[in-house]
Amino acid sequence: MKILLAEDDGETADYVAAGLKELGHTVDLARDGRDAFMLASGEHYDVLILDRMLPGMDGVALIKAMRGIGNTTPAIFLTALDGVGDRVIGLEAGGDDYLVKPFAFSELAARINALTRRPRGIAAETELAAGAVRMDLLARRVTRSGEIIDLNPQEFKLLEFLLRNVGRVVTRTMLLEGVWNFHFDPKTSVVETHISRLRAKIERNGEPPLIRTIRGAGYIVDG
Amino acid sequence: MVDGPARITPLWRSAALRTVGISGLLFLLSAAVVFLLLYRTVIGTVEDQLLRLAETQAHALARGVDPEEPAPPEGGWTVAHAPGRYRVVITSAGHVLLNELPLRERIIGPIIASPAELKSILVHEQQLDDSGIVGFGLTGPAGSYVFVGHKDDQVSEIRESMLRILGAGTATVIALYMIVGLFMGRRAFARIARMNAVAAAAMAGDLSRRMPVSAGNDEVDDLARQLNRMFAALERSVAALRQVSTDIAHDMRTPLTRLRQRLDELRAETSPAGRQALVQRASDEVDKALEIFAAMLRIAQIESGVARSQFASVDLSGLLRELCDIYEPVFRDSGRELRARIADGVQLAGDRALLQQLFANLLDNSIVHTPAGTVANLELKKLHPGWIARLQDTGPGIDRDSRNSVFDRFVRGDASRTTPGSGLGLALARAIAETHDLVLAIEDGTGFSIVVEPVDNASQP
Repeated sequence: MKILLAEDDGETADYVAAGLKELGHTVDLARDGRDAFMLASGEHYDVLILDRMLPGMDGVALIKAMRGIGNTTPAIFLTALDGVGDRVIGLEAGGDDYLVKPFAFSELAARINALTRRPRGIAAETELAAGAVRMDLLARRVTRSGEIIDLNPQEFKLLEFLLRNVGRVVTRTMLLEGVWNFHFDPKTSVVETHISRLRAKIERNGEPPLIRTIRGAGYIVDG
Repeated sequence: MVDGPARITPLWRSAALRTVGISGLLFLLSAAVVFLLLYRTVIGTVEDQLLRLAETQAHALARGVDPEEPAPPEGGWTVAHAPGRYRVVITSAGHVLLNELPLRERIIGPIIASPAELKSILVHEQQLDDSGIVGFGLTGPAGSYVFVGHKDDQVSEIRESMLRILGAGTATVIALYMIVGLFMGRRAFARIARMNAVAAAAMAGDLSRRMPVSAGNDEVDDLARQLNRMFAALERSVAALRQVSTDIAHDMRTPLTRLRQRLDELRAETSPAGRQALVQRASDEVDKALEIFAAMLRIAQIESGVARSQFASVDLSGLLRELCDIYEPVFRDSGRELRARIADGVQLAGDRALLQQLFANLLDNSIVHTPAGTVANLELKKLHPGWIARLQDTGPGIDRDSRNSVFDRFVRGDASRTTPGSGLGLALARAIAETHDLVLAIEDGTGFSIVVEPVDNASQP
């Protein structure tokens, strides 16, 4: 994938760029907002990673300008500003995701994957599936090899989020934000508890697990 | 640009003094107009009376001096002479029989045909000692001309006395206005000077001083009160900021010191596995420091009230029910139990994400700070009016002394020293509560019981 990284802090930029290159992406680096805008409007990128506070033109102004000229490249904001209001401003300006500094690199990688493979502008699906598990979004019913599994609303939401991201790592924070709309880190094992309960309902002993734990990163449901 | 301590404005530039001065001038101007009108009327009346007197006398004289060569009255012309009265008699042949006017040449010469003409000349040109003559002339039946005039002494007397009154009045008014103006100016000046001093002190960093508010309750007092509220708010935020800085400095020391120790150990450690473990521990310490930092900033941000601008109606009943659904399995898997009794239809104006965090923090606390086997009850009750939310557990509770301090940053009950957490959970919860005008309080009773309710509830009798 071709990625534009707009970040004015040299060390962070080098660290992120090196990590992304290691994952096989091509990375262009812009050190200020104007350079980023020139690059982003002139070339095709698969994803934009924008620092919220860039010299020359800040991330919000940049994404507004990009959306203004009809560019729909998915964009992730990196920011040190962690407030609900800041998040809302970033997303309303046209950002697609929001990552608060400091972040783990695996978190950024997972979010890039989630963003770029998300079917953009395609009609909503009515059925999700992985392995032997099928989820009917209209009837709100989950079956495993044809057998109905009874899930409560929380478990249903969690499974839906995982199935929508089949083949991609989802991190703990992504689950907290995407499933429960928690924009903070609870002190207790909310994510782990719900994952283990869901596993207990949809997985069978002796068969390969549907939800795999990726140590230090998160969870993945293989396609 | 004026900066530094307030510069003293000279008194003459005082706004109050200027106002008094302008109103004084306006008063004098309108008084002058009234006076002028009065003066004109009085003078006009007096002149009119003199003119009518002259007219009567002229007619009488004309009757006496006709026919053509009139004889002087008995005793001669001089008999009837009276000071201040001037008579002129001219026969039809142009012979001046009598002229008492002091400036003869004006009257003698060509015969003045029209009484009106003579009158105008006499009145307007015969000036005697600054005063004129008001008189009436007429041509008798036989053609002789008769004029009687009176010196308008009275008029000039009236004029003089009225001018004296005007002068004295003006002087009094000016003096009065100056005294009042100076007094008011000085008062206003002193008030402004006191306000300036408070502002200057604030600029210099002392936000504890307040502007004087007088009993007068005028617009300056309104301004002073408003500014005082502003200073109070500023003082609070500055104090909060100072607190945050102190707290950060205080509590960041622990993880940073530990981080340093790990790094020192790392230098000495040779085995790859040992190094790996130390790197992990160092990284954990950094995470802890960052977590504290983020939480502190978040509290400061919430306390500054920025979220208020985005408040919307939040369905608290729905929010709590959802949180119970999320947390119930977490309680159960940790060997505890969460029971809920949530009333329907409780709404409040707020930020959904923050309220969610507030209650999630309380639930997290209940899990982290209680032994296994604890039962927690989350209850939302509708009151009339208002509502109350209560989370009570059967845990060990908290001793009375540390009850209020648990809401402070970094304070944890002694029993919880060893349990995880930044010690910011309840401080954050309270910041969220306060920005929503909610009260967060610990109740008496067995176990730990914490209530959340609108400030308005507490003020109900």
